[in-house]
Amino acid sequence: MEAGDPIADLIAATARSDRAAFRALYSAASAKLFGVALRILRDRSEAEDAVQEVFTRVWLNARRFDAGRGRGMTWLIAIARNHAIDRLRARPAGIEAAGEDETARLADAAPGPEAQSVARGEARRIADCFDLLEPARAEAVRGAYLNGLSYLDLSRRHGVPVNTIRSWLRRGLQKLKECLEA
Amino acid sequence: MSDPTGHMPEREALAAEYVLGTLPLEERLTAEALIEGDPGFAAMVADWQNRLAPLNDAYAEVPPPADMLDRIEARLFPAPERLRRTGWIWGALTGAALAVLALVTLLPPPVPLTATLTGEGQALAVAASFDAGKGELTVVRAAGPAAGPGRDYELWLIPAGEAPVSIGLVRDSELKIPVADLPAGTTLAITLEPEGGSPTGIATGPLLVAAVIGGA
Repeated sequence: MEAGDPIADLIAATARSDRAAFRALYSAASAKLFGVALRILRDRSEAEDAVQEVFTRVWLNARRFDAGRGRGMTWLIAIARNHAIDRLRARPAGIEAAGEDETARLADAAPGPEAQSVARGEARRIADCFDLLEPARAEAVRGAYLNGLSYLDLSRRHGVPVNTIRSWLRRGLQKLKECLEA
Repeated sequence: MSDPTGHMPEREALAAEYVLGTLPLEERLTAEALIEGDPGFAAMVADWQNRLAPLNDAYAEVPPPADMLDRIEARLFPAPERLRRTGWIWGALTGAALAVLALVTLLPPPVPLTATLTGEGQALAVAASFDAGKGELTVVRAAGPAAGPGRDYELWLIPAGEAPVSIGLVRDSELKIPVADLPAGTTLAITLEPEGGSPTGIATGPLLVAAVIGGA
């Protein structure tokens, strides 16, 4: 286990209904979670709603966080991604976010994992494993994860049937898993 | 976990795809139900979250609006005195108090509306979801203690500007109530009442938690 996870400590304190810890958690994580919501939803006001809902869930579900299962920030980002993607999928078909505003574009501008955290072993490991995938498959996995693309989006983008994309990405995930566990 | 042909078992593939985020909504909801009910599946999801977590570095930090923490706290922790001062539930819900009750985030139809009923200093949280297609409201205690011996949590539906209507008691199991419509501005609220509910049909006990249905 990696030592030191201040975010996990704040989540644990939040689970004890410690409001000061909840505020500290908000200070530490809100910009990241807003970046996640903005990148997936591409609509500033919807991303604001999503982040409010995410912190509401964090307050209510903090006791379900298990520090033995992963890092605090990973848990928070999972909540934010899941909520944002659920909202995205619930949009009526054909409605793309109208306002790809400045902030939403900004959310894309971050460096990739390789560039940003070469020092972190886990990040390097997954980068190495991505390198073993065909570039198109690696890019599809990354794009789907970061932007919340659906199989339908990917199928349109690549001009292949949904089922083809699906089994192609599943094989990519399987290879990643084997590589990460090797 | 992989079989000799190199394919993941279907359940693990579902866990991986849920984390990847590519599934359509119905399959995402299936996965979310499995996470709640099946610890083995929940563990697979957690493993995939950890595997793909290094990708999270690519999300930029973007400062949210300055007043967002206030909005979240207003939603989670409505001002206590205002809620306690009046005995009658509608009084408690009017004016300033109404503005600070939990807002609700909602997915457009046909996806069920979901709301979390919360209150100041209350461990109790009640989850509500409304399926407009079926005309059914499902309510379940999500967190906090049971009402206790000789008492019940009573659920009230309060159309905007109208008197509360009792629609059921929230006990240990999921409560399903036929409700034709749940327009924006409708309030759902829980009061603590004698076992069996308020004998008069008007709330007598303290208002514990509430949520106002937001615009879809």
